[in-house]
Amino acid sequence: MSNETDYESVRRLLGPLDTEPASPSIVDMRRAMADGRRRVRMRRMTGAAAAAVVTVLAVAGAPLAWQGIAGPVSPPPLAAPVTVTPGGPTTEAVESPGTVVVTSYRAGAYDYVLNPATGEYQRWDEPQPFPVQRGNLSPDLRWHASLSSAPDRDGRAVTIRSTVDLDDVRTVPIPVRTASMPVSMSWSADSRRIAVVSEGDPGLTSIDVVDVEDAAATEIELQFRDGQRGWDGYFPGDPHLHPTAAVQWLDDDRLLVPTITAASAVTGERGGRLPHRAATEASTDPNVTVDGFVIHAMAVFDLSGTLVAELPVSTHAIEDSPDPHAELIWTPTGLARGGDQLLLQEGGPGSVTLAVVDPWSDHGPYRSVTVTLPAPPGAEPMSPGGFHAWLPDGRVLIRSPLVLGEDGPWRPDPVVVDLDSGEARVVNLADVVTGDIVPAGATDITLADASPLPAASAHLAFDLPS
Amino acid sequence: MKAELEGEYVEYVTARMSALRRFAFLLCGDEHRADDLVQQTITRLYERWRRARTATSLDRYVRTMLVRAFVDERRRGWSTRVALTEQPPEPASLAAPDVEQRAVLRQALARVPRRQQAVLVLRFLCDLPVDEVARLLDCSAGNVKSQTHHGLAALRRHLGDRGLATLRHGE
Repeated sequence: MSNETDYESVRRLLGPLDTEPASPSIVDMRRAMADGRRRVRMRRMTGAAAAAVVTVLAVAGAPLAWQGIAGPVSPPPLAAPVTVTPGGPTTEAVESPGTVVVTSYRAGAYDYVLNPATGEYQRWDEPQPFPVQRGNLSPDLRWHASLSSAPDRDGRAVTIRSTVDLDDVRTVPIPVRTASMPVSMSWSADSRRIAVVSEGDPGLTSIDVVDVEDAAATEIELQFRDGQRGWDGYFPGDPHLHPTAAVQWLDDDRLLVPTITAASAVTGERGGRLPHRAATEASTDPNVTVDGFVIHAMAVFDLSGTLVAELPVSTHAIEDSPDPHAELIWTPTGLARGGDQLLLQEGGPGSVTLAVVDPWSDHGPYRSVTVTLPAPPGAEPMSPGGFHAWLPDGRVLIRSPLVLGEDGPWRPDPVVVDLDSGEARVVNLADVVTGDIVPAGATDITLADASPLPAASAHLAFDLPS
Repeated sequence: MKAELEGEYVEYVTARMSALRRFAFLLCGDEHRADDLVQQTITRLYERWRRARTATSLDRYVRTMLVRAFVDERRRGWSTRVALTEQPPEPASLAAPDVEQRAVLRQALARVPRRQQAVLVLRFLCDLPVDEVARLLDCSAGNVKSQTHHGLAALRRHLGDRGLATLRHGE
């Protein structure tokens, strides 16, 4: 046979394979529907936990244009506070008109936060002086947690405030140990616990887990294998606005921790493309600067600190692949989770590359998508864009870079990416978040999965466009 | 999911089931794996039905999901794809040359990198144009052409002289 590649000859060559399946199908549509429902529920419960809730977005084209708006849009909150059991059964699921909800926004000099029990946006002021966007909302939208100085100004604390009763404020001191400082946190899927991550030197060896109901913290020693530690500086997005923790919850009682070793130290521009220059000599030579670590695995721990699983994250998995995206190499600049998928990203001023990982596979990233971010002409990028939320329908919301315009810093519209089709599109937030939900000119809008909404606030849900 | 949406899903999947299964069978050449691919695809489709139903071409959207499931399968642990049985497989019937041809071809094709397999099957068995294959695999038309070239070269290499002779004999 010659090297001919014309269509007909190849068609003839492969022709014997053009047959019908001989046996009857065993595909079960009912099972697919049942499994699909279960996965949707899982994603709503756990996918949102990592990403969900603090999604800081500026409304497009509305840079700092809210002077003069002083009051809340909705009536003031109910006089009688609503009692909520942390993490307990919240509400019966209701059919809502959409999949996402605005959880907070800024108008005038104030932040407003959603009371999910009433569907009202209430003004967020003392005794919680921190912007809503600096903290993390629980997956059930009923609690807001932020890191702050401890009441005695010696050390740090987690301040937890109920969004259905703003007077319910709980302060949990977090011990400051040698060479460590609490820096970030994440909520468990059931909204009962918060994992608090402290800086390590280098790397994590323990974390603190706060029980919301007890308002108490417990230190958990992470039983890494020899030579391994956790990575503490793992921020998907801007750590100044989006304090998502390095440690994430797989579900109600298992934690996912990015793992490093001394051998994975790198020097060079952090967040730049791999390969970084290895800095293994850093452990013995104080003159070698360690700028970061390449995470080589994701470790799963239970609440006793026992290592229960490990997912190797190997760049070789994509380097060796014939996939045309193979050159888009994962770097440890971000992590998020939706259902049974982990998302890694490589960020930059003009584009973001996302790679999806099956946490139970023995391989690394197996699919990647590169998204070009909106870049208004004449505007100077101030911070990179990147992952912002895993939407309930499985798509990923990408935040555009903050840019400096003539009127000050502002952020162009976000981009929604469909990882299945590779399709990416800019979302015009001004079109989808209407004046019925937030006042015109509102900014710093945060979005979350709408599935926990009770009937009283289900009408606030909307869809981001397909 | 609302009953109305669920009804649409059932109607669509019911109407497309046999076409999807044949598509999956052409891709992987194994009935059971084809069923797995279709099962996986329609499960995922259910999850995303609210949005998928608004796709410009729902058929293309679903085919894309199925092709990607097939391509991604390679990157999972190979052991999950190996079914061990106590009995050795039945030998191919000597009286059925077409069966033998298929076996030889399928065996050789299975050794071609998965993405190249997909390109060959989509182009030459499913008769899809280069642009459509590029859309399904989320790559450029040029990439499809180069994958075709490399895939055919690999296929011929794996067939070897003996395999090619078997195929010629059957013509």
